Amino acid sequence: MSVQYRSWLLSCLVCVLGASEAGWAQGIEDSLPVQPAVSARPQVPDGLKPITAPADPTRIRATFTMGGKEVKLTEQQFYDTYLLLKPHEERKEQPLQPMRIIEHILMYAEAQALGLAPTAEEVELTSPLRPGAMFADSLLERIKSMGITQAAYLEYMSQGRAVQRLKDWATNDVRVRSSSAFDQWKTENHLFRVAYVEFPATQLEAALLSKGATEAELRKFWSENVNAQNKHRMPTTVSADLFLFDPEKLTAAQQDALRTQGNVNREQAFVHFKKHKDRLLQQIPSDQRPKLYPQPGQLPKLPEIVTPFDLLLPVIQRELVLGDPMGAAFEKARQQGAAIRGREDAVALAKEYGLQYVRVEKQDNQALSQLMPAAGHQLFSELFNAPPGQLSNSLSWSGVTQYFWRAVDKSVSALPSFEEVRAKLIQDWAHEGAVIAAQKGCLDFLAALEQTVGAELAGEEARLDEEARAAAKKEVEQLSAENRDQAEMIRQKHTIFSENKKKSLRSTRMAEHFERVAKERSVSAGELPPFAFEMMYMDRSAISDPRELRASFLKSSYQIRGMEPGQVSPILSDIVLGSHFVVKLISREEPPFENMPTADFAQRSSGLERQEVYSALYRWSAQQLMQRHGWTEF
Amino acid sequence: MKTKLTLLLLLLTSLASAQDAKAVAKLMLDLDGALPRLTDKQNQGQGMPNLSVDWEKAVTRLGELATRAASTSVEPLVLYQLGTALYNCGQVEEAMSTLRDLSDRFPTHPLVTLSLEKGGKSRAARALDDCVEELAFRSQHKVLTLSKAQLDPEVTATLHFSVGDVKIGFYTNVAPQHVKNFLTLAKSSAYDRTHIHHVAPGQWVKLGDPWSRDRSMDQWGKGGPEHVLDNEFSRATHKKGVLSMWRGPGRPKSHGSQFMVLLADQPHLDFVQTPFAEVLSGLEILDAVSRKTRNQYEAPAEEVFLNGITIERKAAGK
Repeated sequence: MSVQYRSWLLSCLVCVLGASEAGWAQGIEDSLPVQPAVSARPQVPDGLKPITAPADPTRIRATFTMGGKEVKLTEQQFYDTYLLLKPHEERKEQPLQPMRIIEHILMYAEAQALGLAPTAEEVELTSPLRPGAMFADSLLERIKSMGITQAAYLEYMSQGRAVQRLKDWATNDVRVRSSSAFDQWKTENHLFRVAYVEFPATQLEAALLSKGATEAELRKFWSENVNAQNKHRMPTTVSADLFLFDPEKLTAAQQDALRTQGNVNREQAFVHFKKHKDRLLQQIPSDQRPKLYPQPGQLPKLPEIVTPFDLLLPVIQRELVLGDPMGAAFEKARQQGAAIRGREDAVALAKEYGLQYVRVEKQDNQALSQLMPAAGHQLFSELFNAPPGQLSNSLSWSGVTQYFWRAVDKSVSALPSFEEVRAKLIQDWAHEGAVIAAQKGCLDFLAALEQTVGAELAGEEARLDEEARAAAKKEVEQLSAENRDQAEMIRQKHTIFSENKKKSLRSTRMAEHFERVAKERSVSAGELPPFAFEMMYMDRSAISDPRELRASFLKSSYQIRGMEPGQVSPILSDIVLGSHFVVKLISREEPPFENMPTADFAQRSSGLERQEVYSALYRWSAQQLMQRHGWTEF
Repeated sequence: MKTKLTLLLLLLTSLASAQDAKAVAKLMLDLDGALPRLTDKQNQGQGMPNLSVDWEKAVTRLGELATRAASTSVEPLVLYQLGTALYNCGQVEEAMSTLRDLSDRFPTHPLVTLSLEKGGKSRAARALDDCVEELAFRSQHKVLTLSKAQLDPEVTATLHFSVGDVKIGFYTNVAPQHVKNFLTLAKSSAYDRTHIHHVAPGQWVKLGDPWSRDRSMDQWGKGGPEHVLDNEFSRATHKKGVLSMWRGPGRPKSHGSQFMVLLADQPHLDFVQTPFAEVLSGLEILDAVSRKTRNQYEAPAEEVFLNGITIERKAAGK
């Protein structure tokens, strides 16, 4: 587009917009009532005051340290920097603020100190005003019109370049130590060694089962236990007759029986292909499909070129030779309608047309999806919404299998009566009772430990309480806290300190008595070899070995992960195993570097690198710079 | 006569020094260009991970520059950056000797003497500390370094989409299991007639879900084979044109079949997903697909199929 044409287009646009805007404004003004003129709005919001020339230019405004030397900044120097930035960065309603000036002064001083400021020759080489530079003349005119001298412009460019270089240097000056990556990883991969006592529910469950439950106990359990109710709740189910036809599963004899005509010629096949193109295209054998896409430069010879029709010819021929038994059966079923009353009628219809017949009896959504993987959910939904006796609206496909259905019955999810589940309920009752009993055993063990330790530590704990009271009293007096609330807060603070100390002391002492109390109470105790924390398995029901189940539970316990060596845990319950544990952390050791997988090493290193680069990018705010260089303002 | 000669000598000397100053200025500009990371406005807030930067290339460029900058005021600056680049390449001993060279030969340079933080060390001293610490650590432990990805010259594949063909090459040297898995699935036609099921305009397209073949659209992207793959991280980065095995939120391992084709650099995926192949030709076809109208499932409104995959082996033929 030529310059003249562009200017012409622009002037036309301005004229049109100007005219229409004026007209629009005129129209609006005519229709609106007269409004009072808005005049009181300030040009600059409060707090954004423009910087003015200093009354005393030689006054020291601030000092800062650069490379160990103190630098004094006069009011005039500050104002000069403001004047340098102003034409480029100040906006009409957003005057430059002192923080921006300070930011620039400190960044430029840092760049200069490191020897990164450009030399006069460099400025000359990169100046957009240098002779021969593109648009140099128009740029010069523009900066003149803005009231900027050439020298001031070049100085601004030079300082900007120095600051940019300083930032670039910081983002490139990033090195990650392997030890840092390892340090970060090892804190999350400590090796734990634990001793534990286990209170399993299995033995108790066997005892309860042999003892048996009374009628009243079972009835109470069924009416109150939501888990048991949910377990035995009857799902929504459907019953239906399914008529399936899978040509690939037919034997030669079945094919012969279904044969309606002899060989099919190409024309007949092509008519059939065009009629059923969308469906057939999805049935091209996968291994044949790439033949449709020859490589450029490796084009096959003319006789070797294939089309989808060629690849589908055996399928089409089979369909034509076998006729359309599914369509015919569906048509007959439609005509018979209510005449198909029971299973015998359905079986007879399937047999007549060589179809596969499946009776679906009270199947839920999941079971139906397993039977028909590609269409199960859809089929379940259709059957559930159809009244008994209704035939499907059309023929459907599930992969290569064609089918239609007849709804027989359906039942909505419901809670069975007590009598129906009574036989199954005894197992649940015994399990639940055993788990609760095991939990009680576990709590008794913890209580015994507490009791032993409590007797030992009575004097020490009383001393800690006394110390806390004395410390609180002293602090209240020192602060002369007359306010009752404040005094109470101080007391509470010291009480919390004291309680924490007591808790830690108790836990440590409980660990010392752990094995002895376990032995006294004949509780099964064990120890796990050093292990690293693992994420909990999503589905532990697949694990059958109880030892493995126990290990996976303890290895993934966040409670154990947060313990200090020599401490005892509260009760830890594993629902899958049906056991309760109390655990003592024997040791927590750092893993060797060799345990660290390469992928983890790479992840940690790059994470640290990313973090460093982020810090380097965001270390240039005025606050950070002022802090870094000890900025003191007078 | 003598005065005239002196004046001429002075003129020549000043001319020579002006030339030198100009050469130094050019060197300084070259140094700016040789830095692998730049903090322009577009880059603000995007901290690129370490291995996304081609430090070897930076070492080569800075090494050349160091030769050219010898005995000029730019030399210490180049040496410092060269030391950092060498460190990040894993050549810690060379980095240390370069930084020692800087400290010994330019003992008064601000990089060697100046500490900008209170009670801190100079930049050169900090860099040397890093080197000493790293070498000490490496003397005790074998630090594993990741390999650089290379395209397998023996095998390529062509993805036949309904909109055109896309040719890809494989990173067999760094992601052998992922490549083997992909080729096995392709060979068994597991990818045939699947859809592109998720796109982000100009960013990536996602495909490879067997459920996208014949299930309803709301199920696309939720299926896959029963196996998962261990991550195979390397220095292959998530740059434009890379095929990366999808991992999915909160999953620790690679998905068995779904993958993404990246239409722009995605550094946030580095060390999260495993890149295993790279588009050799036809990326523009997928880019165009990604920019078309999408449906409510973020899939192209006009369905795009992966019709089949042809594998080409150099030695054994097709």
